[in-house]
Amino acid sequence: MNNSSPFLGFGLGLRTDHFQYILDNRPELDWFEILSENYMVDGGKPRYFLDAIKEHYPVVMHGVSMSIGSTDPLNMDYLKQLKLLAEHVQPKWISDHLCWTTVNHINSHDLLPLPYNEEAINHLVERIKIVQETLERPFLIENLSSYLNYNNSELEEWDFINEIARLSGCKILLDINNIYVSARNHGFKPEVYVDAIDKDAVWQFHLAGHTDYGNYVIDTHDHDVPDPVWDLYRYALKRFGPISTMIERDDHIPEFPDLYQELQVAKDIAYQEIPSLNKQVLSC
Amino acid sequence: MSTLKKLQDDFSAYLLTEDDEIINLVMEQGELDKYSRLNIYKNAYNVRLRSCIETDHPMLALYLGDELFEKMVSAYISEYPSKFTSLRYFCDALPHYLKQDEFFKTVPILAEIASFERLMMSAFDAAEADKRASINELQKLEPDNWPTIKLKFHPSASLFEANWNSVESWQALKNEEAPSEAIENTRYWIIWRGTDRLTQFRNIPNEAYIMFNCFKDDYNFADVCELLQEHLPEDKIGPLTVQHLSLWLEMGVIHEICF
Ligand SMILES: [Fe+2]
Repeated sequence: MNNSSPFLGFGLGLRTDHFQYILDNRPELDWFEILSENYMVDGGKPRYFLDAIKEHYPVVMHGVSMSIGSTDPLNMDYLKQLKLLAEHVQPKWISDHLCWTTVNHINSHDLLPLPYNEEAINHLVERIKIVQETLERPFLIENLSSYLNYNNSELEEWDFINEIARLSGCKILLDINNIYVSARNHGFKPEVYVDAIDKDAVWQFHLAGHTDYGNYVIDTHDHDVPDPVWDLYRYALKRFGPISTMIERDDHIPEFPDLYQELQVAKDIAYQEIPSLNKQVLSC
Repeated sequence: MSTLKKLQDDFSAYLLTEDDEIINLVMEQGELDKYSRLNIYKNAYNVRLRSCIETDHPMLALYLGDELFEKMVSAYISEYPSKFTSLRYFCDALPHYLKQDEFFKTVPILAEIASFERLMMSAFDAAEADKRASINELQKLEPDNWPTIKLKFHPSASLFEANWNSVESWQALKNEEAPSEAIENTRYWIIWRGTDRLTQFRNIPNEAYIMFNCFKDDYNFADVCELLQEHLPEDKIGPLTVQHLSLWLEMGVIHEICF
């Protein structure tokens, strides 16, 4: 039931609105995830608060701009900046999404889907290896919420991710909400996805909310975690055991205590599903 | 061209233009048709860039009003697609766009408001300096050292020359008041991030603007005073320069006094 991933416990995404609260109250929390790009600036408020907060909590870094699946050359300037930030922050690991964002150097600033085929796998594996060699830290790729698939996909998404993780040696950040959203949009059973993902590759879970439009669902990160996502999380815990888990909230951000309360729900579910967790020594 | 590259080119063309060749690669699935699926991305692309402009230029948006703001947004998004890794820089060319666009250039205050908002952003996330010089350092200076002193400013400090009442209009909108009508009126401003990490700005007289620029260009105090002779009566130069220096020290815009 257990895997070899370092278990950090239960965390939250660090958001600007909560900086002062966190410093003033030092809530009991196992770790924070930062959005790397928000701190890739020279100075000012974000850097000041990050420096203060990282003194008290373990941090992981999560990015949106690597464009790992793009056919543009890898953005080495970005990677160097990311590495500089990592040297400063000393994160437990660094993650980004299994997607492409730029082509011909034009940035969509969106996480765009890839076709699930051999050409894409080879392309990604080669680039992830360069990223890992450059960053010299554990690197995780995250599954997307997606709204379309391509005619030239040859594999299921889960097989595609497994293959990339296996060949590149990277780990997986499994976003439980994204599995649910994509399952609804593509008509597969989310449990099938969870069952298929390599147990040992998963190092982190994201939990989040979405907007349900009936015949499709959009990953908006602006709602509480809804019941079907809690159910899928429960199901995933059974398969993966204790995984560093956090709630991602990017819009309509509630007060810190409300988000903290929501994280307690995640924690309670994990303790119910994995009774041995009580004895687990956090490896951070 | 690789199949993956072609897919990304076609997808990007769909986001940026009317070109819909990508449709041939989109899989038919369930109830939602292929265009609706693609349009989720196209819509998100436009919404994201629009909201970046609105977040970075909130007072410009208010000044323009809904209709003109939307006109500017759609033109800017199509003429200046983002080439930046971070959205932080997406609107860097907005002042330039407003200055040269046939329609918007007829209202020059717009480009000024946009420039002012960008400078405020730069002050917000400029590098930190390990210290700020204090008024004590000035008071402790030996008279012999005065002519050779040079200044290093805090990295967040910058100047803004407004030829219209752009900053006043920005301020009125910020205070939820109606801005007065655009009038040509040259004023100088200093923008910086205070020790409390809040972005600030302050109106400064012409001679302070000249002084700041000279110090920034590495002039020493004696050179600055000499240059000011073109602008001020000689007996005013000493007291005014000391007054401005003291104020800057108090504001925290000087990083270091060197000599
Ligand atoms: Fe996520």
